[in-house]
Formats: sequence, structure tokens, C-alpha cells
Amino acid sequence: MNSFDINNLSNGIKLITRKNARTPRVAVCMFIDSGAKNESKAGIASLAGRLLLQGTESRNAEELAIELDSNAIEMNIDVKQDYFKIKTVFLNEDFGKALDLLSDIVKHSTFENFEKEVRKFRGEIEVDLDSPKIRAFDNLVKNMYPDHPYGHTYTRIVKDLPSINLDAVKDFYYNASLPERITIVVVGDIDKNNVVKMFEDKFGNLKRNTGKVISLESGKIEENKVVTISKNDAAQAQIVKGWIVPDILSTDYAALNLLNIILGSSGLSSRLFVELRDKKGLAYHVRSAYDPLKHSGLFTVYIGTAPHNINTALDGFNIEIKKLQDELVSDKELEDAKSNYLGKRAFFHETNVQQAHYLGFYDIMGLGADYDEKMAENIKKVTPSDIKEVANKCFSQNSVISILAPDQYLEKH
Amino acid sequence: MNQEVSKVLEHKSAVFPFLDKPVEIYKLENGHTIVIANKHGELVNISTWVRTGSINEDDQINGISHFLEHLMFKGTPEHPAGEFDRTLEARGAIVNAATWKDYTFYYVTLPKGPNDEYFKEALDLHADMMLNAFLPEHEIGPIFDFQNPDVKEKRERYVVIEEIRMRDDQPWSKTYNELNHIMYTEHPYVMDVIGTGEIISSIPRQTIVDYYKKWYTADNFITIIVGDVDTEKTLGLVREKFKSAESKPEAKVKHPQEPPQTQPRLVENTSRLNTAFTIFGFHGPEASNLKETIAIDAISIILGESKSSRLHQNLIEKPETPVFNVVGTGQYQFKDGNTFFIQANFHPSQRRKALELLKVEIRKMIDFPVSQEELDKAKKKMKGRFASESEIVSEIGESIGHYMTICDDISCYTDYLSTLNTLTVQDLFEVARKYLDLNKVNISILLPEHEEGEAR
Repeated sequence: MNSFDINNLSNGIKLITRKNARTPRVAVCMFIDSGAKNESKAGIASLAGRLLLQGTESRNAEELAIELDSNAIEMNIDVKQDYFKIKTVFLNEDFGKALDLLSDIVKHSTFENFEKEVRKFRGEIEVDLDSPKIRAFDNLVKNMYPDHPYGHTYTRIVKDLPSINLDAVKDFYYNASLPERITIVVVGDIDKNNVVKMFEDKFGNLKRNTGKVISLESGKIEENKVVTISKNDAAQAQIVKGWIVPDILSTDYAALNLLNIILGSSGLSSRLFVELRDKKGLAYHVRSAYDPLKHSGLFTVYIGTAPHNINTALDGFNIEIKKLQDELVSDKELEDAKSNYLGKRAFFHETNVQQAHYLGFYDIMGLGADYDEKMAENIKKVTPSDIKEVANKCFSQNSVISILAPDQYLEKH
Repeated sequence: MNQEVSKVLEHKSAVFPFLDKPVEIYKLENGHTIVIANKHGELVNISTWVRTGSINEDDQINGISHFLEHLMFKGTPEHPAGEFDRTLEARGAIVNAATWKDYTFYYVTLPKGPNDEYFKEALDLHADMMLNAFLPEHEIGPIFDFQNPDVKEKRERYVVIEEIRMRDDQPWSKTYNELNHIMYTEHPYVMDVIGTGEIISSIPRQTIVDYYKKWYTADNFITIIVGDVDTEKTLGLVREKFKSAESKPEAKVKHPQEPPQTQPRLVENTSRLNTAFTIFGFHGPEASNLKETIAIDAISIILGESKSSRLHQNLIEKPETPVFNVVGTGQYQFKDGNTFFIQANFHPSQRRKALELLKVEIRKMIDFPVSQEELDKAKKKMKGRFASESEIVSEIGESIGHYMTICDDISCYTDYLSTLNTLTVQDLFEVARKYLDLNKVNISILLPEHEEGEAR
């Protein structure tokens, strides 16, 4: 991968640039160190993101949509637990236009159409919640983090929406969009000096100020729990089990990544896939996932299976988890997991927009834009006993199990 | 077996949008087509497309193409089940396959490695899998009674049945499948690609083996390599690895033609949901009718893709009282005739109004031409989309494979943007009037059975 440069604009905004010659589109990711973690009510951050695309002082919502689409400029706002990201991707020929629109949205949004946006947001959530898998995950996460903003799932948002007002949304955005909290990444067939000058012109005058710094606990699951949703016509049971595990800044980050690959995230060859799908035919989808957050980590194992298999599937999870706690993984399996991680990096950095994402993501999470390289070194150092140790540390903690299935299969749980 | 490699019969080059070098297409004597697309970068994508899918099935074997796709990963005499996945995933590869109505394809995307080492290893394993799949009985699992849940031997048959169950629970899939069932009376497109639990639980191994031998032949294969590779060397490697592929041209069949639709068709179902789903489907041109296919792609952008589209603006952004949650449009391209669809999610109490509003927007498309600004937007958006695809080796491979199987020619892709640029508002108007006929619409609706007990 090509090297990158870091420049600071005059007000402290960090600007990261990487030149990738002979690529047709430029990607810009503007990361703000704020997200659901800063919400006083579930949904405020997402609403702020949605309202940024509802008009500015000089363009109403429809004009903005037409201008973006007729120039083939993708403009998306992604609100996660730890960050707020404005992402734009466009053909090289449209750099100036895209930058104008980005700066207009960031600096001159009028936050119009609040009521309508609340209504649309709720409608879209309702549609998503008609997916049984999304509902099962939603129920898991809100029960893992009952009093924590990481538990601000769709159903929590639906509950909080009526009590959110426009001022709360504006406050959130103005407190978030402070220069010292912003990292902008530009990747494409660009001239660095030109880009620095253009961004200085557009964003160097964004007001300097200092907002509140949020400090969060990692969250704790007080007791083992099973939560259920009944859906009597479900053809499959949705089963997901979750633990709160170390965060992205922890020294366990590399080992947890490898553990996740070995257990259930590496495609067709992971343990869960081979044992529960290939050998037992229990599922089409079965996997584990590690979501490294800034103040906590979320580890899940998931399966969709015929409702009469619920216990067999939960036993299958337990067996695989216990194996990781009791037995050292073989050197070969660990080496394969390491090369899987290192090989997949190419896949996750194939496009300019992916590269812009990771440079900004690691920076905003506090690990530095060059963390990708450091991470590769950390991965190489992990030993079989590190995996066993981290398995014991994580899976001896309490967990939540979320099951969605027809009533008759839920009675025992 | 000491076999000769098949000779190159034909070679042509085609300029590919946003790629530095032209794409090279070779047709071998045994019918095998090889395509090499050069793209700079560390990743390489290897795929083989087989010209078969649910189009070659009937009521007895519906789902066999997709079931076979699963079983192809269950080993060869040289590489037992699991080795392919383990070896390649240890290189960081993405390995998978997909089955659709007109084709089935298998792919590997991975870093090409020092001296192209991983690429060569992957090509070797990929060709072995395509040509020598073993389809072992113990991986398929014994035949069983689909109604009996207490089956002890649960192998791949069950995995596919779980995939069927999974789709039954997904409201959009369910709505689309029901639409698909009413769209055809004669053509095999009427069948779901995934088949039924009854068939998957009872289909004998020998039937699967026979199907594999019949369709997985050189003349039905298109092998595509995308990445920073040496064209001549790569051509040599692919020819060598696939040299045992045999040609059986008699396998080509003529499919029944779908009679023209004369009446609107409607299907309505219920499920335990909170919102209502609908998809409208119209029969479109054959995919190889490039001009009309592209015109419908442009109509789709104008009508329902992205925020500035008519459906989004008129049905979501502007109404004072909400009717819709989600709207969108798209075109599935098929060899024997595309499907243009409009999909929407709406508030269940507004059923009548929702359907009427969608029809009003369709009528506008056939009563008045679109504006020049709308057409220009569609052209620009499509250009952006092609640029976006050119950034990703697997997407380049998929575009080539898709167009070469459904149109038999790469020009459907390479001539796409230049053809699009010649289209006028009048062209779009004529195509809209020809295909977006409300007398020939198919509508599938999925409504809530009743509200669920869970408090939200």
C-alpha cells in the first residue's frame, strides 16, 4: 500500500491524504469522535446524521439530492457507537463540486424537516425489525448494555424517539463537530498540496472550541440471562449469544481477532462452520463476530436453525467455547488464522473508500492512522497460550442469550 | 492422463471501461472460454461460470443446480472435503459460489502472493474442483422423510433446507418468490433457484452426478481471471489446468417460450409482520437486447434508485401523511427475458392507497417522456457505477461472467456506456410504453397477519 501524509489545518483538524494513481474515483471520509456513545437518548446521533442531508442555507433537501445524484456523488452518513462518519465518493472530475457540497452540509445544514425525518426513521426501523435476525440481535445488545449507550439499538430508539426534540439534536451535532475531534481522510488520484489547500479553504475556518469529553465504563452483564421473542410462524429459530470482552485499545485486541477467526469468522473453514454446519447440518448461517469498540468489546456467536434444534445448537456453542478455554489451538491452526488475517487485509483495503475508512477509523479510535502496520506485527506475536488465556478471560464472564422462535420452543428457556 | 491442452480457436480484445488495458477473450477448440482482465493491485479474482442454473430444471429436480453448487465444495479424489477451504482461507482468500436462473459460478479472491504463488495454488485447486468434484455420499447425507424432524444423519441436505427456511423468514425474499411464481406459466424461470425441502431431502446422488456430468462441460465454462497477471502465462496456465474438460455440445436445450401476458396478476399472502411488503414485476426484453435493457436500467434510476428519484421524492419525502417506509426499483437481467421490478414497504392500513400511488407513478412514465435532466443524471450515475465496479477485482469478474453467460458476448458490458450515451428521452419513452404496461403487471403483496404480542 502507498504511504500517507498527515497535515493539520490551521484550526487543528487532522487531514490524512494518500495518493493512489490511476484510480477513477476519490474517497473522502470525515470522522468525528462522537456517536451513540455521546447520546443522552437513543437515536439522537442518527437523527443528526439524517438531518445533515435535509437541506442547507442555500439548498433545500430536494435540490441537495438532485445535485448529488446528477453529479454521481455518493454522500452517506454513518453513525456508530464511537464515531460519526460523513463519507463521500465521486469521479475524479467532480472533486471541486463534491468538496463544495461536503462543506455546505457540514457547516450550513439547517436541520429542517425534523418531524418528517423522525417519522421516516421510525418507518425504516420498523421494516428492518420485520427481519427476525435483526430483532434477535437487537434484543441481545440492548440486554447486554441495559444502562449504557452501546445498548442504543433499534427498539430503544423507537422508544426514545417521541421524547427527542430538535434542540437536543442540534446540541449533539454542534458539540460533536469541533475541529479537535475531526479527522478527514482523502484517498485517490490526488495532488496532496492541492488537497491540503482546498481543505484549508473550506474547513480551516470551522470554529475552535472544546466540548465535553465523554468517559464511559465498559458495561457489565450482571447475571447470565436468556431473553426471548416469540414469533409463531418463524421457520428458523434465531439464536445469538453475547459476551462483553476487551476493547480495541486493550492488549488482547490481536489475540481476540485471531480467536474469532479460529472460532467462527473465517468463512468455510472455521470451527463453528465445520462442526455445526458441515458435520451436523444444523444451519446455513453460523458464525462468530468480534466488534471492537472504544470502551468495550462485543463478542457474539450466531446460528439460524430449525426451532427443534435450539438445544443442540446451544450445546454446540458451549462445546466449541469450552474447547478454546481448555485446549491450546495447534500451531498450524494459529498460523493459518494469522495468514488469513494478513491476507484479508488486502481485501479490506482494495478500494480508495475502504482505505480512507481504515486510516480514519484507527485514528479516531485513538490507535493512530498507521495502526494497520502495527496490528500486523501484534498479530504475528500471538501464541497458542495467548488464545487460551483470552478465551478464559472472556468466556468465563456472564453472557446473554437471545432466542427468537415459535412459542412452543421457548417454554423451556 | 497425458492430455493435450485445447487449442485457441478465437481471440479478441475489448476495451473495458476504466481499466488500463483491454480485456482479452479466448475461445478454445473444446468450447471453453477464457477471459483475462488486467487490473493493477495485489488481489486476483478467479472464477468459472457454468451456463446452467434453475433454467435447466423441472419439477422433479428443482433446486439441483444450487444443491450441486454446495456439493462442489465437498472434495475431489486429490483434495478431500475441507482442504480447499482451509488451504485458501489460510491465504486470506474469499471463497464462495452462487447459483441463479441462467448460471452458476464459483470464485476465489485472494492476494496473488510472492511470484504469483497463491494465485497458482488457487487456480490449481479451483480447476480441480470444477473438473473432478467427487460428490461423496456421506457428505450429501442419506435420503430422508422431509416431514420427520428426528433425523440423525444430517449432512449437506440439511444445510440447504436451513437455507430454504432462512429465506422463508425474510419478507423481501418471500414477496419476490411469490411474484416469480405468478410471472411465468410455461418458462422454467417460474421455479425458485433454491428448490423445495421435499426435493432436496429425496433427490438421489446419482441424479446429481448425472446433472454435473451433463452441464459441467468445457463448452459451458467461462473462466475469468482478473488481476495484475501476465496475460500469456495466465492463458497457458488456465488451458493446462482445464485440459481434461470435455465438450458435449448436445446438452444445449431449447426452453419453452413464455406466452405473452394479457392480464394483470396479483398474489397476496400474510405473515407475522408489522409492515407490508409489495413487489411489482414487469416482463422486460431479453438481456441481449442491449439498447432496451439499458433504457430500462435508465428508467429504473429515474423512477426509483437513490434519493432524488421520483418514487423517493413523491412517495417518501413529499407526502404529509406517511404511506410508505421504503421504495425502490431494479432490473434483473435474464437470458430469456428480464424482470423490471418496483418494490415498496408501506403501512398496512394504507394498502389501497399505496398500490394506487405506485400505479400513478408508473402511468406518468408511460404518459409523458422523462426530462433531459433526468436522463443526464441516469447517464452520469451509470458512469459512476462503472467506475466503482472497476475498483474491485471480484466485481469486474462478476460483470464479465454475468454478461458473457446471459448475452454470450462481452460487448453487452464493454458497449454499455457508449450505447447509453446515444439514448434519447424518446427512446426511454418508447421502451417505457412497451414494457411498463399496467395491463401486464404482476403484483405480490405480503401483509401482516396480525400485530405481534411483543411490546416495542
